[in-house]
Amino acid sequence: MYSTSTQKRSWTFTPEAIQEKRNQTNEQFREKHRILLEPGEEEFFLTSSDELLMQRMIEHAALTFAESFRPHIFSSIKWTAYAYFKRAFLGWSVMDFSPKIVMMACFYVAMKTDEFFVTIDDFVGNLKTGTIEGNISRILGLEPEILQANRYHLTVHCPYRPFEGHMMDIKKHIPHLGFDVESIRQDAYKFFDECLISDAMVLYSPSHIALAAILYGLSQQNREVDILRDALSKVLGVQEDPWNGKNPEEMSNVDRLLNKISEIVARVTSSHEEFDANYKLHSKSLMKRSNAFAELNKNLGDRKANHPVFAKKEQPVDSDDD
Amino acid sequence: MGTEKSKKYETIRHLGEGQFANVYMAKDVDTGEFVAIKKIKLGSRAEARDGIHRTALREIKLLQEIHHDNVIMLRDVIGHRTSIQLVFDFMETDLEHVIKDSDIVLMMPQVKNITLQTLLGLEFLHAHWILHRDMKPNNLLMNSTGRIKIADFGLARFFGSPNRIYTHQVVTRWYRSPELLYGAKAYGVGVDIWAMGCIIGELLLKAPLFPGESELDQLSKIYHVLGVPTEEDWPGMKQLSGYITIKNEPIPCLDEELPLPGQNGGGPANKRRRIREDEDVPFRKKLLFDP
Repeated sequence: MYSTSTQKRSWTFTPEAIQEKRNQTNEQFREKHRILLEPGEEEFFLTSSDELLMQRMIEHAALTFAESFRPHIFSSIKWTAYAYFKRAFLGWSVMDFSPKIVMMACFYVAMKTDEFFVTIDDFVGNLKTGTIEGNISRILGLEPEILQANRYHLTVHCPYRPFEGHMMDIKKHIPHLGFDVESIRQDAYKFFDECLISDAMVLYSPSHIALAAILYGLSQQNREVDILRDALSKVLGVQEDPWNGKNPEEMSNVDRLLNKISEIVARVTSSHEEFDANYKLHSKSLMKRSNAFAELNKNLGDRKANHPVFAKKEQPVDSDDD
Repeated sequence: MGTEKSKKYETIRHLGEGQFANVYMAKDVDTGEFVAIKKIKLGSRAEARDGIHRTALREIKLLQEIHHDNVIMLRDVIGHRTSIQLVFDFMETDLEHVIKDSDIVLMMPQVKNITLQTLLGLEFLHAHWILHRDMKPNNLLMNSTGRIKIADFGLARFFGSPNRIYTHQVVTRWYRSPELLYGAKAYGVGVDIWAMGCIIGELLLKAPLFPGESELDQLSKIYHVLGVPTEEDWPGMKQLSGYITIKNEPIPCLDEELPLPGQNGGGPANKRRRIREDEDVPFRKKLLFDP
């Protein structure tokens, strides 16, 4: 039930709050390592917007991974994996955690929590880089970290089921549409994929995202928005009398909802265009700088080992360790 | 962070060991309340080859979302280097112990009370689209005030997606419904309700209602009491992948089997009779064939 969910309570934010978190995460990483740096070295650190682009690039690439994964996975697993990934990187820096392997581990966790059973061996069989044992140990090592970063909130409500519900509502309430509403499905699913490379799932409810997908699908065919407006007014039970038409007060609620849905479409679309542009402009230089940072990070590792502040704090051993 | 949080609880004693976890009784240092801590083992053991066991992930995933007086509460999850610890309400006993304890006599009001509490919890789960899939006395915990809480969500899952396949290898055999025994891959709340019927029967009898020794024996134990269902009782039964024909036997006469109280208080209290269709026994309606 979404209304009482951890997703709504703990993982739905305003755009400003998300930006704030990302800046904070980047700053925390810098803060923590400043003590190890020599003059001028901080320039090699990635900025908050670099980090976001890096995540987006991984999100983009993971669409292909999900598509080619065998056995074929449900859309909800993909959405769930992305949710775990996005939530984790609100608090993690890509300078600390390789987003690529984290994404893979998120898929592995999502398959387990969404009742889709593959063994770790079958899972890593789908990975194209790295050794089998290396991938296994990295993914299993990340598993508890991902759970913790998600604060052990593992239920993710996806828009795919509300989408089916809304489609049924449209078919039921507007029987004489004049075209097959199923024809928007392909575009709607394209929209869901674009959502995955945006912040939609940490900003909006799954049901609203599903409506946005329908609006997007209709607009791709140049259909009237009124179809959706009509359907919503019927689903929401707007009073209608033959003399005065639809109750204007109740219709203003419908229009508010429609505005919200248009906002989602606009945000996802612009976020997608922004990613395309950034990808073309900056991905090469980002890769270069990220490699330069990786070099520095190796040195930082050595310096950490010799620095008293970073000396390993031993955790007490569990009583049932053996 | 993990270490600070584990100091919040003071271990008192070891309560038991499961395949993937150890359970301890502990005390919440701040509030003084007792809790049960389930430590899920992590690491490189053979059974942890696939990482954190999915029964643990199911419990975390589902219990974080729901809060009800008759469902065990997951109070906290603590991440640790070598384990994940789930902190639950502490409950003194479970219904399996209550049933097995020959010193305890369960009267009708008590059985009703336990049944009502369990059904309230189960209704809540089903309303949230959760199937428990392992309802049995052992998983119904009871505390010293008589509160019943449904526990162990290792087999539980969200239901309602028609395109998903559900495994029929769920629910402990004695409480397993006929459609599961027949290998159904699509099922619903019926599997929990059937188990509930078996539990109520067990509370009344103080012995399992259908203690089958194998899957086949389970079906024959059920049919021995309820009769073999016909196509009319349960349309579509024969289409189930694991369907087998079981020969009907004449239902023996009314004088042995079950110690059930008479209808509406009428009849001698301890007259032993077999349940019949027309009899208004509290759990009869939960043991319907067509799910």
